[in-house]
Formats: sequence, structure tokens, C-alpha cells
Amino acid sequence: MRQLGFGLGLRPDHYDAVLDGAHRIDWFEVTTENYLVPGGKPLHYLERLRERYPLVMHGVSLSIGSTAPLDFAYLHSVRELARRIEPEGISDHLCWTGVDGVNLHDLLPLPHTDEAIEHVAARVRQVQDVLGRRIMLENVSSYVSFRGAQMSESGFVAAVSEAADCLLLLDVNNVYVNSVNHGFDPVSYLNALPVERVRQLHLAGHSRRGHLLVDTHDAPVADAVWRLYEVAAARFVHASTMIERDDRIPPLADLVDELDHARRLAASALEAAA
Amino acid sequence: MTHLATLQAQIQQRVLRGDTAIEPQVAGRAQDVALRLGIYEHAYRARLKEALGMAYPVLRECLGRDAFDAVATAYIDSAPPTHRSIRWYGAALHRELRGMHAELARWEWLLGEVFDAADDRALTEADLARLAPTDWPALRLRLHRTVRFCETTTNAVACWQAAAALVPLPPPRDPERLWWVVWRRDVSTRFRSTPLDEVRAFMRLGAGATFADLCADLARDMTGREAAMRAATWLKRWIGEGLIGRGC
Repeated sequence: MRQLGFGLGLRPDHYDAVLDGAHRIDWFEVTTENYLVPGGKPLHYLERLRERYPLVMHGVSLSIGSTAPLDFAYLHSVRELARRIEPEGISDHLCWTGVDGVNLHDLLPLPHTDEAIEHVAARVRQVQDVLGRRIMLENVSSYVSFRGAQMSESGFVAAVSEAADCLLLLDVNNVYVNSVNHGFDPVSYLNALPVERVRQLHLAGHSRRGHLLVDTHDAPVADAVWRLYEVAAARFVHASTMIERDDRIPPLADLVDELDHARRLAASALEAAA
Repeated sequence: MTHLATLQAQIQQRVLRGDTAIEPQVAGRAQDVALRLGIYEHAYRARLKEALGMAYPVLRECLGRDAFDAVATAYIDSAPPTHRSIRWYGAALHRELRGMHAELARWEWLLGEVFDAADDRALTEADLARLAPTDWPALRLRLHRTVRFCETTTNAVACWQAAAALVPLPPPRDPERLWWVVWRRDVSTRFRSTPLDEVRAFMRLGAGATFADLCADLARDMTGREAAMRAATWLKRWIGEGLIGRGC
């Protein structure tokens, strides 16, 4: 995926505001499943947006790590949508969402094992064959880790991307959340990822529950995540940045201001690194 | 079963039913493990309840938050999601309800179906004007692809209209059987009540009847001229409303 600049997650609350003027937004990420519908308003707005902005499709139900068979009907519908809107990239999560015909609509963690790497990599290759392009996989936030892990989370993410020859969507907030929840150094995590594979960066807010952080996407980006973003922006220079907000969604202008902050930090970080 | 498959089955059983078999696989002290797994259990239910609330906003208002929450909980326990998109979760919620609330649930789900049903082009009067008079008897009309029908025996639709308009709900009414036609014009959802003979005509169109067939059906209860007039009046209204699709 080419460098797109600074974008936002497209939310129905903002459809009219987005179409109603010029904004300092370079591109939009759209939730794939929201547009896997036969017709009507969602696709109507999506096509109008596509006339004005580059789009990236971001899925939540690929379930790439599941031991259930790949859902080819779903994959074909994703491919159909991609043909319709010609996205700059297609992404989903390095996780699983259900087995035995159930889809829990949650991004559930995988064990960091060789077995899981082999399993996921084989499925990513199948998906990439169907879609006719490399996909981006996103590191997910997690609240549990499993006994018997054979490597760190960053080692697992890097190994999957190499074995599957796929790209990575690095969620900086998820790295920070997991660093607190599982007790690791987030900067070392970033340094363990292959630079050339990271093509997109996610920023989002989180909330605290006891001694754990929960990836809630319902608040502005936290200061600690901004500091980690400076490191990421200097390292992953090919990556486009976007901010996700899924709950307590503020006016579009507030998110544009937050995006401006990301622009300034990235510019400073790049200057300092030069 | 592989280690990965076993692990996933155990996590899923924890999220769905609170099973404890996964706990020894999770790193950490027992109390902490329960807390961490609880985040997934909570998120699963919260996300589905949120989806049901979005699909049934008026039902939620009519029932009240607590009663809706109880209905949603019962439904989630009985029907784990199977679709890839959460937008399709909750189609059978009406089974957890009775009377007006069950009909309101069916109604709101139907509105959702029409909202993102397949796009279609509507037949226009100009299209019909191009027909030769001799083409009319064999003319086959088809319903616009967004058209759906619904039968009610309570004032569920009146309640929905009141809630949508933010005015007090009407009192329960004696049972009255009504038919409704629901469709979309461009991106805007429309509906109206419709008499039974018109519903029958719609059904006949759906089964491939010609304009002459419609007239013949009506002529059983009126003169041939009256039947032709009634059919023509319907057709004019249907075209004006965008209920008839263009092309095959």
C-alpha cells in the first residue's frame, strides 16, 4: 500500500460532514463488513466518498487464525466490494473470531507458537490468492497470554508476516495496551517488526479497568500512545496513519484536530531522525 | 484435535457459557486469569446488546432499558451469532416477545432489511407511455426489489411512528388486522398500509401475473370496466410511489 498520509475511520455519524466540505483528511479507512450489504444508504455514501478520497478496507471478521475452515463466501463478498471501490489496501486482524459456525464478533488472541504461525501463514496465502493482493494484518489488543508461548508477541507478528509474505497494520495503541497488560517494553516491540512490511499505523483511545487497559476506541489518543507514535512514525516511514474512534464519537472537526496533532508529531519525529 | 483447536474451543465455551476449562492454559494467578477472561465475556455480551439496540431502537424505548436488556440477554443466550457482519444479528428477537412488542420487533427488523436491500431502478410513467396499447394486456410488472410486506394485528406501527416522532405512545388498541407495504425510494425508506385486495395484487405480480391477469382477478367482484379502472388506478399510484421495478 502506498503512503497515503493521515486519515480517519469513516463513521456513519460523519457521512454528511465529510461530504459537506473540504477537510484536512487525506484518506478514509472503512469497516469492510458495514458495506457487505446488497445496497441502500451505506453503499450510496461509500461510493460518493470514494469519488473524493482514497479508501482502505478494514475487516473484523476474516478470522484468519481460526481453526474453522476459511469462509470463502465471505471472502468472495470482500473481493466483490474491493472491485467496486478499488481500495488502496485491505486489512484485517491477526486473531480469530469464532469456531464451530459461531462468530463471536470479538478479536480473540492467538497463542504465540510455531503451530499458530504455520496455521495462520497458510491461510493468509489462501486469502491473498483469492483477493489477488497482499493483505495487511493488525496486531490486536489482548488481555490474556497463554502458557507454552514460544516467543514474544512482536516475534510472533513478525514471523507471521514473513511466513505469509503479508503486510502489517501496526496499531500503536494496541502495542501500548498490551505492554501494560502483559508487561513488556513497547519500543522493543516496534524495533522487532520488519520496517518494510508495516504500511499503516492505527491510533486510538483506551480505558482502564483495574490494573488492565482495555482497547475501547472511545476516547482521544492517550499521551503515552502519542509518545510511542513518535517512535513508530520515525521508524515506519512508509506507513500511513489513521485515527479510529468507535464510541462517544465527537464532531468531525475534533478528530481532524487530533489528526493534525499526529501530523505535527510525525513531522517532528522524522526531522529528528534525519 | 490440535492444540490450537482445543484452545479456541475452550475460549469460545468460556465466552459463551463461562466454562472454566481454559483457565489452566492462561498465564497468571487464578484470580487475575478470571479477571482477564472476564473482559472477553463482558465485551461479547456488550457488543451484541449494542447491536440489538441499534437494530431495535424503538423497541428498546418502548420496553425500557432494563426490560430490553433482559430480552437481549435471553436472546444472546439462545442464539450465538453466526453471521460475519454483526448487522445481521438479531433477526429472530421477536421470538422472545409477545403481542405488540413482537410485532414491533418484526417491524423494525423489516425496516432494517429495506434500508440496505438491493438497489433497483423504478419504472416511470414515461416508460409506460412508450408502450403501444396492444402491449398492455401482456404487460408483466415486477415489484421494486426493496418491496417487503408485513401484517400487524396490534398498533405496533402507530407506536413506532409515535416513538420516531418523539411523541407519547398511543394506548393499546383493540386487535385490528392491517397489511403494510414497505419499500425504499433512492435511500429513503417508505411505508403505507394497504387493503387486502391490493396486497393480493402485489402477490400476483410477484408470481408473474400480467396486467390482464390483475384485471381478470378484480373482475370476479366487479364489472370488467370497473376492474380495468381499479387496476389502472393502482398502477398509476404504484408507479408514482416507486413500487414497480424497471426491466426484468
